[in-house]
Amino acid sequence: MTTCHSPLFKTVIVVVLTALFGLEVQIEVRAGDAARFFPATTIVYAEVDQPAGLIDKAQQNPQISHLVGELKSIPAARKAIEGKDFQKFQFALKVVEAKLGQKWPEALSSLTHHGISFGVDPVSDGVAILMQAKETESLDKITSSLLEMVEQDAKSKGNDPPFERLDYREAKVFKADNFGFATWKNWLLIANKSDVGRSILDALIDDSQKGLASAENFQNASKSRTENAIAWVYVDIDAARAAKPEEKIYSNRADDPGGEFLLGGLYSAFHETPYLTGELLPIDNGLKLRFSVPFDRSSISEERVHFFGPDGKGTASTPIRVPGNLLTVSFYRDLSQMYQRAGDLFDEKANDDLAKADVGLSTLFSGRNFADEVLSGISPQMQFVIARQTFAEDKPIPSIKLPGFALVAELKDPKASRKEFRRNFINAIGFFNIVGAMNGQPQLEIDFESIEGGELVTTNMVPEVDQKPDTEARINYNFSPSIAFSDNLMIISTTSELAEAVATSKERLSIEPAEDSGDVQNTAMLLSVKELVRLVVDNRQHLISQNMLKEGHTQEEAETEIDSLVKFGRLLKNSRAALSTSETTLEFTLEVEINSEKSPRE
Amino acid sequence: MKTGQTNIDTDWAWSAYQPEQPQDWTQRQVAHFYRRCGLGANPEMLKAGLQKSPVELAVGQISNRQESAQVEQESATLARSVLATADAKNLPAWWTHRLLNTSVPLQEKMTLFWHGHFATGAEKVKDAQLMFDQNQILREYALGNFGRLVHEISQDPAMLLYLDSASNRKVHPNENFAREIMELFVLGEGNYSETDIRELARCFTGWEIRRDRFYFNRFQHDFDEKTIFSHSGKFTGEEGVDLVLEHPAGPEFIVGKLIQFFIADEGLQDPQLIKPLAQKFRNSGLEVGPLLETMLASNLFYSEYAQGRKIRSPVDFAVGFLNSLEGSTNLLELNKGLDEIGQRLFYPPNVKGWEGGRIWINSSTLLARTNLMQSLLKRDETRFGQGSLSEYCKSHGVTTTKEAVDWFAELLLAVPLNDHKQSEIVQRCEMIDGSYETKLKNLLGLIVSLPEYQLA
Repeated sequence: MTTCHSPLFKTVIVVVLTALFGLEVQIEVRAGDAARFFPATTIVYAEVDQPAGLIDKAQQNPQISHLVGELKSIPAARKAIEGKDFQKFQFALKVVEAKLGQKWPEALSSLTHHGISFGVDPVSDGVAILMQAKETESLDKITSSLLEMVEQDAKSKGNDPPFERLDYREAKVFKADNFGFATWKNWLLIANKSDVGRSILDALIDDSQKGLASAENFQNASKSRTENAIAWVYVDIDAARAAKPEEKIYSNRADDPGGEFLLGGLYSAFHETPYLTGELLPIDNGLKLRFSVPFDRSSISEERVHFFGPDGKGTASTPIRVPGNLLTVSFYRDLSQMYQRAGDLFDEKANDDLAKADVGLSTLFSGRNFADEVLSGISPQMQFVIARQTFAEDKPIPSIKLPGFALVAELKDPKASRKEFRRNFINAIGFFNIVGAMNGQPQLEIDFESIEGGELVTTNMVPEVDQKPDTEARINYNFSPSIAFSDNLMIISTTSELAEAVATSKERLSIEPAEDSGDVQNTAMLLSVKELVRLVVDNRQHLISQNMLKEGHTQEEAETEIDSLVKFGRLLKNSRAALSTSETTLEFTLEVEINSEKSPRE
Repeated sequence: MKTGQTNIDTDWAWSAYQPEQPQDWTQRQVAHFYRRCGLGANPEMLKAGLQKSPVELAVGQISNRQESAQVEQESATLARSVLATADAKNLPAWWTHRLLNTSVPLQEKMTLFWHGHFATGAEKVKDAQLMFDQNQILREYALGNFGRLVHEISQDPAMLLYLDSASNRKVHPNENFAREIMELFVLGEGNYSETDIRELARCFTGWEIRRDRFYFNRFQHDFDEKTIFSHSGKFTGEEGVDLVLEHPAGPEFIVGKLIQFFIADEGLQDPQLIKPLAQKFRNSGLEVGPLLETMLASNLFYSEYAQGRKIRSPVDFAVGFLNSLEGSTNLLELNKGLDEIGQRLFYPPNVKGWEGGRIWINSSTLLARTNLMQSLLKRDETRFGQGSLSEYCKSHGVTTTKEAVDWFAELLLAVPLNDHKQSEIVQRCEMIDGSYETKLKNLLGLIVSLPEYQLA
């Protein structure tokens, strides 16, 4: 028996959700009314308005059938299907279907016909799920059949009936140890606490028009809801912040340069925002997840101008694409400003570390002030590019194949800055060679090359004197640190191949004009799942070994898991993410596309 | 090493153990054999072992030096992956995988013995490949010729780097390796003089490590005459090693250490008891196999002087536990736990290796041992026979907590558990809320926390 394969299951969830929802599904969506039944103190609320429509569409769609077929052919899924547990589950499902006189998807569709809502109420410590079935008869039939089965099972094991049957006003209540459920007309409520259960039943029976729906934050949040959203979630950040003000996310401080660079703006937003909304949207062949918080970009604090830019309109350039491109993340971050504001942004330790680093960096840059004179020469638009690399057969090929990483920055005054950066790069390589020689590491050989509009300073790992052609060389052979200059671009890369690819690319850093709405992308990310899968395939043997050591799996189990991961990955295509600002919102979006080609292969 | 005098009849002690009646040869004795000569045994191994005589069992393990093709292939694949990271910190997990899957447990146990004997630490050597290569040498000669092994280790780059002997010039001979080969590797304290060390160090001049390989630099070798143990000549390094190996104290020193490792931590270091085996060892040309054949099939090995007379090392404690129940887990985390209880493979504390015995146990390590087992049992990755503990027990006909206590005690404990303790464990487990799996895991956790489980 295999244990839970978490990365695999995460992938499954993404694939299945993407497959289910990403089908240009035209669903009649109406803003759910169920929020009025949940307590006004509900802190998290989510709803799927018409899951029945999705289930029906999924059943009828040939693309889903194809995807299910593909999923079933994946080694881990095949093994699970053949396993005892799945066979037992199938048997139980058949019994349920026989009792209901209908297939399970039809029953599920009927049960959730008018929507599912979910809420968390911190006051009662309650969690509740509310569903509205197609009609009262179908709900009664499903619940009574399932109850009968559960009670028979308990009886056969000599246990007491698991549910106590009660009446509450006009509702039927079924109470177990840790949770209970209730039916009223065509509504089904499942809750973990009596208090929240009673509150929702009262609101239902009294046809309340208040509850969460009357809360100001919720009402404002509802306005931003997109018409065709498949699912929608609301989080009352005001309440969450009041409950746990000590949580780091609300502190408005990242305290370390890495955290500030990546998330500084989010700390600003979460420090003040009253609520967060999220929604799942169908796009062509995929899904889009969008999280949004109210955000006034005209009043960004001085200390976060480095993150959002002047007036909050700092815009990331269009992500670069190169051959083998795995990931590109494009940022707007004014490093010079961030460095200068370190005292306000970081804790004492981080500031001490920066002060120490400043001494070294200033020495490296011939006594120039690092923040004022070096970083200020770099434009806030910068990109981080990762791409698979190719390995020449006549050179040592590393056993673990890492992709190349590159930082691409725009120089404000290339003529003045190039020499400085070139010289420091050469110094760094010299230093590396001296330290490397002391530790028996291979040496780097430096080379210079002119290219159109610029130059390449590349290195190569020198093979050892008696080194034979080797396909299992040390991890060091992944690196050929290089720096390239092309027009106003500077590329610092872990591999000469990637430095050259970016430098000679026809693409240049360009900034898309702001949309009519005034929205600008502060951070943009492009991920090629296809290249990611290729990277996994490149390192298959190493990943299998790591799986054996970390998971305690046999070789066969490890192979199955990694091969399944590859196959799942091949069901996905591309992924994009962005952090954008508008005049009134800060938004994070993530899009995932599925690969609709039959039996996708590299 | 502690010395002591015993009143044990040496003829009896080293004669082969022959159970008087078939029923005198029990599963508990087979389990004792595998605890000492390997890292525990699963129910199938115990069953098969019971079909053999004590001598057949020992001879079988000593003559079986060829690892199964599957384990060899998996081990090589894992090694490639671990070495590709160039990080020695991953080596312990690699070795643990081999210890858990080996088809030649005695060979691996002896590799572990030599690892502690010729202690070399990755903390200082740093190079994963060199540490791995040394481990392979130890494995190759684990049951072979001790003299050959000493010669190999003498020129092993990891060892020479560890002892700061990567360069050895005639104007300033490095005495580190000369001292350790006499004191720790071959003779033991008190069997050489400081002059012997200085003279032996001159033999090793010119021995260097260049680009991770042994290199003889003849320009730095002292070709003049040296005098070691009253022998004079223009000895080379190899001849110096031979002189140490020919010293009469060597076999007794090694036999004493092997008795301590395989039979009892304390009380069996009587020179009279050691002498016959030391003689045998010398007569065989320092072959380890025949020596162990006598030792591991002997009356003394199966006697009250041996059973339960050793404290489990951390590796015995945790890897032995998994081996006995066909367990598997996250080996990187397991090795972090082993480090916390005092034994990090490839990282011995110093050139003397792990002292062992009572040193393994103190109030802190005892608590850490319990914690390690609790975390091991809680981990999702931990499986028994590739499934849950309850399924594993069920597949061996164990279906109640009472049966489980009996079965676990038989498999895991070197000394029998009294009835009172058995029923107390069952009662405590019955009081625990949760599934049968949870109860079994708690029960197992209790058993491996008992003082009885700390004994091998």
